[in-house]
Amino acid sequence: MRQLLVLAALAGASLFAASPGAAQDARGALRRYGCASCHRVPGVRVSRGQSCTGCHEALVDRQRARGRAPSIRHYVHVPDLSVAGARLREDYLVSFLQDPHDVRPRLEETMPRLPVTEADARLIARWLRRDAPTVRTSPAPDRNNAAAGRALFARYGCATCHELGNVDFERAVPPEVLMGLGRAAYEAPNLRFVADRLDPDVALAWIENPRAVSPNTQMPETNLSRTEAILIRDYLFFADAGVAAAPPTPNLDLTPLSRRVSFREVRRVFDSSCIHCHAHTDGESASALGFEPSSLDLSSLEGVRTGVVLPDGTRRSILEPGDDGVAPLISRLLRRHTEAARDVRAPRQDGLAPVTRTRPEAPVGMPLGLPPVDATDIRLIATWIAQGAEG
Amino acid sequence: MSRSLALAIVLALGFVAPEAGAQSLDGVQVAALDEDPSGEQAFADEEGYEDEYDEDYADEDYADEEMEYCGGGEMSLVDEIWDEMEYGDPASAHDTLVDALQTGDVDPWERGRALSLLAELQLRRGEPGRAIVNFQRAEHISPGVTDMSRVARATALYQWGERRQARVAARTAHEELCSDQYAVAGCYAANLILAETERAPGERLAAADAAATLRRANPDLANALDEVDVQVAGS
Repeated sequence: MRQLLVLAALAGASLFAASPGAAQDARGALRRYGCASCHRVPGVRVSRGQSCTGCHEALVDRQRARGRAPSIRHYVHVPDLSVAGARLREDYLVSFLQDPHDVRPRLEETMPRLPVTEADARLIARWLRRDAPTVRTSPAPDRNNAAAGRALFARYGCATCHELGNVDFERAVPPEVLMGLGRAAYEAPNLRFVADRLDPDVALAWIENPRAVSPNTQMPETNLSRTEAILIRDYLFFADAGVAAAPPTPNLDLTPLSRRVSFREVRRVFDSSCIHCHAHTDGESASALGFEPSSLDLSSLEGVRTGVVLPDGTRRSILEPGDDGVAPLISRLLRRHTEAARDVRAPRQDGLAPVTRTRPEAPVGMPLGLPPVDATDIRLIATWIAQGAEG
Repeated sequence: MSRSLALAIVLALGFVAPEAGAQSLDGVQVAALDEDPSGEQAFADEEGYEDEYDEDYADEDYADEEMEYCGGGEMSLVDEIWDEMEYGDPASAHDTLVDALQTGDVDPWERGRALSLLAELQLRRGEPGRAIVNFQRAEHISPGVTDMSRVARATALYQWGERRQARVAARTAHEELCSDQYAVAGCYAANLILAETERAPGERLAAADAAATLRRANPDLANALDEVDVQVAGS
């Protein structure tokens, strides 16, 4: 029930914020897209118990302490926007908000693709950067320093935590060592985006003294000299990211199973993530994360059969084939597999897609920001639909 | 001498029991599966066992089960029994599950998961042989259903003396769990088993070192890892 209250609160907040008077307000935009449901956001307060990440962190802490592999491992820790936004370039923030990509290769989840407009992205980016740290002016990045910088990068073990595209620094790190390093290792960004994300001055300040830029960062103190820091920064600005890895090719066989599939079995798939947002709507339309207000209840057979209901009462089936001949419920799940070819890439499996500023193609894949639903589960749902979507 | 201390000494010495002395699993597997080749009806259980549960399993402080089932969906019977195992009374969970399996109250599509859960409960009761059979049946009915129980399966095989199969299972568990930043205890358990079952002394030592690394890096999990020591060593 707590999760439902949170979602209801977020939905209410976003409806309120969608009024014309608030549309130009950055905080209104932050509320409209539900940023505070995961991130700590300046000017938008949400307690730990009212946020997705706060709930997830509490669960993980409990289960981990009991020696269990936590049942949840996504969206446990996300960047604190009160500091993370300040160090990133405005143009990068604007593009990332509209077209997020995989920044942290050791995390399966990514920033979800939300329908953020460029105007809203710009408002949010400027708001997040309003307290951008003042850093010393540094020399412009010099390509001639890259080779020396690469040697230092390797010598100081930066590649223990960081990936840089698909570059192999020949540093095999046992997983137990990564576990020992904790969040610093798992949340370390892919450094091939440094030139996109950071101004040269901020990049240098970060390498020299990360806590001066972000007091709570997981990045350890480097104790590098300024000269060494400049060399490493220059390497990162001119580094060759290696050879692009081929996208994953999941076996998406949707041939119906020969056995009977019940809704209870299908609902178990929905329970794993879908139901966080699509449940118990009681027919009330809600808007959250910036999407069109609607209701969809995947927790009951009746709700699934009813499908999406818009505020004016218009109903859209999620089971009847669409223009592409596929039920929208299935096509959304399959689309996430396509998105994941860019959004969910394991370390050293980088497709080397460039940073873009393209709004996601609608409709977006589901589940938002998470790894795709397993192909066998999609086949299960497709079978259930083919069998008449009975109880 | 505590079991965790004993295990630590065994690890430090790199002791490996000869595989020739292992208990035979083959008889159990064949006998159990021959009775029900499809594996759809039977499960391994016997009457007359002692109730050996440790009261430490009960966690009175945990009172927010609703939050545990994050997402708001309704819990199935197997979900409820899993919850009872983790946060309530494992003995009760075992009995409820056995009853449910006998009376057919478990949905057919959840039977594989139910058998995997029963195997975990039996392992906790010190019944690795039956646990192995039920893990096999679970996997036979629903391939992949025991993925979340890889360490338990490896532990059962290790306790039963099936060192080669335990090694294979522990390697799989290691590959999966040690890439999950939160699965410290599972990764630790996999390393404990590998420290005993790997063929080469260097590999056994590396696994023991990895387990020690995890201990040093996670002092806040000392109690949980102590528990893992006991679980792997067997009661």
